[in-house]
Amino acid sequence: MKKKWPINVRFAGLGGQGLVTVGAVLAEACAGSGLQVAASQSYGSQARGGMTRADVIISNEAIDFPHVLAPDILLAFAQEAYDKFVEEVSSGGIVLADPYFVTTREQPQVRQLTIDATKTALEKIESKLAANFVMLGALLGLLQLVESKHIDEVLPRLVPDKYLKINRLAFESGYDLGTQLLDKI
Amino acid sequence: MKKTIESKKFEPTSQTESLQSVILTGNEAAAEGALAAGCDFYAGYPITPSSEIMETLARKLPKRGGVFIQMEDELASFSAVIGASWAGAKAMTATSGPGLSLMMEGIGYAAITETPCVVVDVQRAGPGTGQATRVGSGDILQVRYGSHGDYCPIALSPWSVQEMHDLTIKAFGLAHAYRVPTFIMAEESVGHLRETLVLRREVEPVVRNRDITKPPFGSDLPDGVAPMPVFGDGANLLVTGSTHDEWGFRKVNHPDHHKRLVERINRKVLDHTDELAVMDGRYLEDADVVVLAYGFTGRAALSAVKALRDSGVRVGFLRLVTLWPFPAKAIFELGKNVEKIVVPEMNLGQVAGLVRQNVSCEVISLSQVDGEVIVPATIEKKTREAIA
Repeated sequence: MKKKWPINVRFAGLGGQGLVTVGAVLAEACAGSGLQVAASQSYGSQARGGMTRADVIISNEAIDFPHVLAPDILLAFAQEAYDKFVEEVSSGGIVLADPYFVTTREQPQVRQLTIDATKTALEKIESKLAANFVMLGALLGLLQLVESKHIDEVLPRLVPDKYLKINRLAFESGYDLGTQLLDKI
Repeated sequence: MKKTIESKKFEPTSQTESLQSVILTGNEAAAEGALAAGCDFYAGYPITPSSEIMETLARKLPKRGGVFIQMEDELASFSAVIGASWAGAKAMTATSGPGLSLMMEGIGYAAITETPCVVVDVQRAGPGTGQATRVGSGDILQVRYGSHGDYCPIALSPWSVQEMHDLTIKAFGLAHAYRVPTFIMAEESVGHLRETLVLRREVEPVVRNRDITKPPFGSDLPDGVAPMPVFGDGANLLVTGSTHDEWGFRKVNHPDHHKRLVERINRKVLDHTDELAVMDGRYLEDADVVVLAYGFTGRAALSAVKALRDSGVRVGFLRLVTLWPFPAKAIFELGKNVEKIVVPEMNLGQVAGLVRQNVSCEVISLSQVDGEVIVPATIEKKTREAIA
């Protein structure tokens, strides 16, 4: 992917997967490193299930319209979400899909990579729930947008104390996965 | 066209402003604005998509010596806010459409008792329970006319997280200056938006005129605002939702008393429409067509207008920050100088209708009520059609 501003990121999956949380972490970490951001979300009224998306626009200049219109990067956490949004991804964009939940299909205009987010979370943390932070780590490993200190600065505000450690660990595991894919983009 | 619309912005007044740049959601920014303005009382009942305002103040108000109460419903919430205001507090609540509907009885009581209070309404898709997590902008006429009888609240419409903060601060000042319920007409898309903003830490405190020697419900001026003592200041305070004279005594059979009271509580706001009207106008000098928007839709409208300008289309942009009192005179002047006004909004034309009442040029309503925000491309297309 050519790095050009703004970068439109969409996390898409189901309610309960923690997408709004990682969207907020990404936005606040980028803001902390001096970038302009706007983050929004769309979710149903139920606590779990239902299509959920969290969008983040990252830019080096002021953002006029603060919602993502066409994602440059889609992080797919559920098959329904992948199916709904994959064709909206901008030409030359990237899809990061968790193969535990998503089977990708041919999309010539985008580059599709699989991130074993849920598998990694199960192996390293013994909980599927940290897959969101594995995915966020992979994204930032791939983009090299912010230093990890910016993540550490915002995590305590956005994550309950008792989950801080496992989410940090999940993030690091994902970051390693992302850097291994650097030559693929 | 001649430039007839003067843009002005609300700048929170401060003597020794200390600034801090942070990233917050709109709802959190409104709560921080309330704290900066000196809010010391919150009573409310949680409702999506406004609950983060309540959650933030539940954490922060008690630590500052303020009072936070979760009430049993919105009727009780608003009644508590009125009581707190008369006890000297700078009081507020936050809600969404269904809660605002329940508050209407109290809003009328606050209007006739001239009780300053601030309400942040984070609008969702209605009517009824509607779609709780989806966006709408359907409360604009309700907030003006929802309670019975004649009164005029002040209502402001933020388009960014920064304005959620700044306009909430401003609302406390206006509520006390005019002794009137003052509303922030936010939308879900601003309440849940996360952006960087500058927090204003040291805002000039809201001062209430508590003179006990003058009548608390009357003025020599037909548009005057009376002083408002607090229980305990020594005034013989009598507060009633019935028609009353300038000292608060019930006068429920006297035509003159009712006429004088109702006219004054309307004129104290409506006669000051010009000074209350805040607008953000751009590219208006040579515009044949103007896109007129408010709230979050203003963001999409400005993006659309910029794109149209880039392709050489002479289109203007006007954003209403003050919705009530409605800036009818300014809209009338605008209508004299343009051919068409396009009004995009997330309801079935509530503000488009108001614009139509005040201009003779064509007004094109761009309504969208699908629970999603209006995107720039939709406004751009409609505006191109209007010009063709």
